[in-house]
Amino acid sequence: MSKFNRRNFLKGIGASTLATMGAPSVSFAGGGSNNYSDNILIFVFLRGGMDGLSLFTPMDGHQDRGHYETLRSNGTMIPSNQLLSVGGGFGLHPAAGPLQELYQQEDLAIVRACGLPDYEVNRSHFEAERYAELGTPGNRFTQQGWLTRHLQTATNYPSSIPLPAVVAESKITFSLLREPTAVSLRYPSSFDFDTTTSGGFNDDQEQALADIYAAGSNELDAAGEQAMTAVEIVEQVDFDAPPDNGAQYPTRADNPGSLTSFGDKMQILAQLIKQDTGLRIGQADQGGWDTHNTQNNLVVGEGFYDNVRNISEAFKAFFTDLDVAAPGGGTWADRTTMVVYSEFGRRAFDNNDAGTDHGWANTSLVMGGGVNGGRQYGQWPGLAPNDLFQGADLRGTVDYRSVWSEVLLKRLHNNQIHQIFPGFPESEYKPLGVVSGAALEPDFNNDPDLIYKGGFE
Amino acid sequence: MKTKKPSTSTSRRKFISASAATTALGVTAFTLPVSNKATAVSPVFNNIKGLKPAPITTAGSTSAPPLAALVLNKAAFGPKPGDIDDFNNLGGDDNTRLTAWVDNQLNPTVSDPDIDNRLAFLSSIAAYDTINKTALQLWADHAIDDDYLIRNRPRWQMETLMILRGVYSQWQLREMLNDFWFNHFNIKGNDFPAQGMLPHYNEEIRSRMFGNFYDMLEANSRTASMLFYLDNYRNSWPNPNENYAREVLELHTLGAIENYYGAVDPNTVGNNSKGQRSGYTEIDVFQFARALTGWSVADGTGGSADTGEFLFRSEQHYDEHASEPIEVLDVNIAVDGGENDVTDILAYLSEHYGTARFIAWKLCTRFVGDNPPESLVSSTADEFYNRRNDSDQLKEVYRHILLSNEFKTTWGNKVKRPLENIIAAMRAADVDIDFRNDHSPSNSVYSRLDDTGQEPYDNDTPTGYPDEKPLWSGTGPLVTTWRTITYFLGRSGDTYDDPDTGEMDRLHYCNVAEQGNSELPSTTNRTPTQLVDMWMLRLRGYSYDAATRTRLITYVMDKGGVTALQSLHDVMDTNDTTNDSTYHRITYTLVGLILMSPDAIRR
Repeated sequence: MSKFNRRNFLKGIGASTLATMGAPSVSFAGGGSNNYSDNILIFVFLRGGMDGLSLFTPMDGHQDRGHYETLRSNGTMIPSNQLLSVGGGFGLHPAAGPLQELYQQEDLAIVRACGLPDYEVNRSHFEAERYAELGTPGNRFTQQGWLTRHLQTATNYPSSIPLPAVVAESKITFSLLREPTAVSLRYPSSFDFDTTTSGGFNDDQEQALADIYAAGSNELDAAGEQAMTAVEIVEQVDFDAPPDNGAQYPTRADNPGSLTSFGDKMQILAQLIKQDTGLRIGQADQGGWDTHNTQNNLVVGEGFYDNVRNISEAFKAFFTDLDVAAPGGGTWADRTTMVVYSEFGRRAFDNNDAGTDHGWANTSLVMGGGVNGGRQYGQWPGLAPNDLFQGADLRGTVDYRSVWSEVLLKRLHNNQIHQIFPGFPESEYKPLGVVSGAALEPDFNNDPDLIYKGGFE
Repeated sequence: MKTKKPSTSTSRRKFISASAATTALGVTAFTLPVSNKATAVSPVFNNIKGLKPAPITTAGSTSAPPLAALVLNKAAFGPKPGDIDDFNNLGGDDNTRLTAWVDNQLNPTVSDPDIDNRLAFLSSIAAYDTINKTALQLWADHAIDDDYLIRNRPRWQMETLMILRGVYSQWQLREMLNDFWFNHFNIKGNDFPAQGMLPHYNEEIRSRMFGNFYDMLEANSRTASMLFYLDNYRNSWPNPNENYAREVLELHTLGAIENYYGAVDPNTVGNNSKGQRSGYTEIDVFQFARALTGWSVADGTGGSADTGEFLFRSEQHYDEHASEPIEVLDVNIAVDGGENDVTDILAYLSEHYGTARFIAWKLCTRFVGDNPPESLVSSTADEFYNRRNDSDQLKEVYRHILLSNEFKTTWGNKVKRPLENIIAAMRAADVDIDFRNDHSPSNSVYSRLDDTGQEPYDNDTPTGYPDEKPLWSGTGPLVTTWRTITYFLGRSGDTYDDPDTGEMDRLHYCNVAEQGNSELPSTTNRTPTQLVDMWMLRLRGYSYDAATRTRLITYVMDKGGVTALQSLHDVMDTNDTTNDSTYHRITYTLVGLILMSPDAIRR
């Protein structure tokens, strides 16, 4: 069983890139370094606590519709006839038309009442986000993210990948904390050394800086080395290439001429996938979900409505864009699975300000390649007063780790669940069948020390 | 005015035992299940000693630089040329020097010539015309103006003022603390009314940074910027808005790390060593939100004046104390005290040992390093707690940390974040810059800072910019920081016509070739070896390790085509320091290498 050597992941590429500086192009696509049976995971974090009850809502005829209307009587209720039905008595938010399409095409699965386990309910954004992304509910000091530990324990990846993991943000996320190969890339045009100054950042200077960082041996030295290399790789990607299949990434409500920030991030990830950079793991975040005040569920161009429109259009565009042939057969879309998660749902009842406070369980989405879409998963816990957690929140019925474990086992071919989610009891792993694929036998052999293994090999 | 519903909520104690008490709406009662993790949670939280995980194991180590450099990189943005010498002249040994430096920095006098002169000039051309406006003026002139450019003018001026202060103020510790406390009470700068109110909002914090924590907390709680940002301006009874209440507990006082017990029965939470309830639960959040109802802003609504001043709206305030007292941790308020309902709780929280530990941990993390030693966190918390009634409480807390052995001996457990790196580089290279409105070089800097992910006053979440080393030592922050440093260093010859004064061809930024020549006046001394050694000392105050030094010398040799001990003047005119001269290009890229190397980023 050969783990890839993550320390040398980019380093190897870097050496050759820097050595051939000045050559017209640096080949990193294919070249024996890619393995086209690997799938791609895109992880989307909706920061701030997305109001799942406004994204996925009981309609007239559902036994909870009356409770819902009572709970949401201060300005956040969505009339039943405006919801986009997805069956089972539920409808999606009026701005989620593209999600309804994906659902009807069986490319989107809805996971109901998903969240932290009941023994670690946490209504702090920042704690709940850490618990999720670090993969350790209850422990906010875990040294690495769940995706870091996935990359660390995966056995199916080749020894060299140009860009294995990219976060389309200014800096790294907790999911990829201390992953030496992860690149944070928000603005590709700024991801370069300054070339506007006369004589600045010449090749010799780059080489000298690379050498200085290469001589050191701790985290920062490694990061500096990676940065030098990542610039050379990112330079090869054409981020202005038009989307395929007429995919339309969302534009801003207040400025239709430019993409939304989230649309831009999703397009960056699509370019990296389609241009064969070897991307295995991508992450993008979308904020603005902390709707304590004037949630604007029904106001076009504002608040929650516009946020839902934005992500819905972005997801649809992303998979439309990826629906092109990939080397090795099939399409990039077939190979790409997306998990969409938010740290918690919101309070079942709204406050005086047409807003909602922090709650517990939430709606989560899984879409793309290998997804058993067009279906809803997870027990619906109900909205009757006695059904609510503490009389206040949608009760969680699905531990988020079950969903993510299933994706790891069936899509990413990694069975090291005990390392990726330390402390996750085997008895609580309840696969829902959200994705298809040959499931590996999960390894739950607990070793608590693994949480604290740091850095890289 | 809102119509109040008759109270149908149960008492707090009933709250806890009832399974689903409901109001007419069936929703307001907030009940707790009988068997939650009450027993499970306490040991978990109590076991977190010193809020630190097992330290990460990484190959290699970094040795600390001389104390002067350590101090000026950890408690300041970084040394300017001459700062290291000044520090070393403060006494005959390290401890004496450190004590003298700290005592000086803890007592910033009004006089700060470099920054004062710059601001005086910039004020004379109206580049900083909003900084000294009163809260009332800012509200009327900017916050409520429909024109985005007018509304945002204070924010832009504050953004660049923050950088100017970092680069030019001699009171470096004050500027580091201003950054720390602003982020502690973070608001989103690009938001109503913060865009217009930022100078006042910041000053409310800044003017109390060396005083008592309660004063800062209470003053902050009365600012329009915070009350709008976390929605409390609309918090009204019934159906309170919990946003601000939660963040005061979670971010401003007790913290969610050691002192948040979550969704449990408050009665199951034990006491701390001071006899105070150890921490807060979801019930405390809810109760505090009640107390905060009516804690608002005069914004022209509900018959109020449109001034942006704090306004307590008693008609929206919880008034059912008699039947159901407000209980937040150990505070029990059975009689409606109006504003005192809030200030009593804020005072309690300020004096809570959990707050002392949380603030101590954050300060130690900032000034000493990630995962600070429990011994220091604990002694700092004691200092904070014991001095809770002192008017210079915070000053003494800083002194405790900065004079500790842990501060003196810890190195490299943090990196400078992008903004700190860029300011440090500007200081080291003696960059001359001012920022203006409608000024393209200034605008270019804003956009570059945005690329780094650390534009001042631009963090959306109430946490402020995170402080953890691994988040900032990745590819994105490094690349965007490096390109910005290069941008400043390479702009020696840039000139521009000043739109405000009519001054033409104003020279901008710095010319490191000229600086270097003043250090090495004899052309025969401008050898790769002497240049590298001189620049490391001038920029950083000490010499990097031998391997790095050798690589830097090789770089200059290669670029100049000379040997290590041969003067560059043999092959080029080193007195030609114009922007495009070969000598300038070699010099500023060498300076760049020194300022972009890992030693310059560690702190």
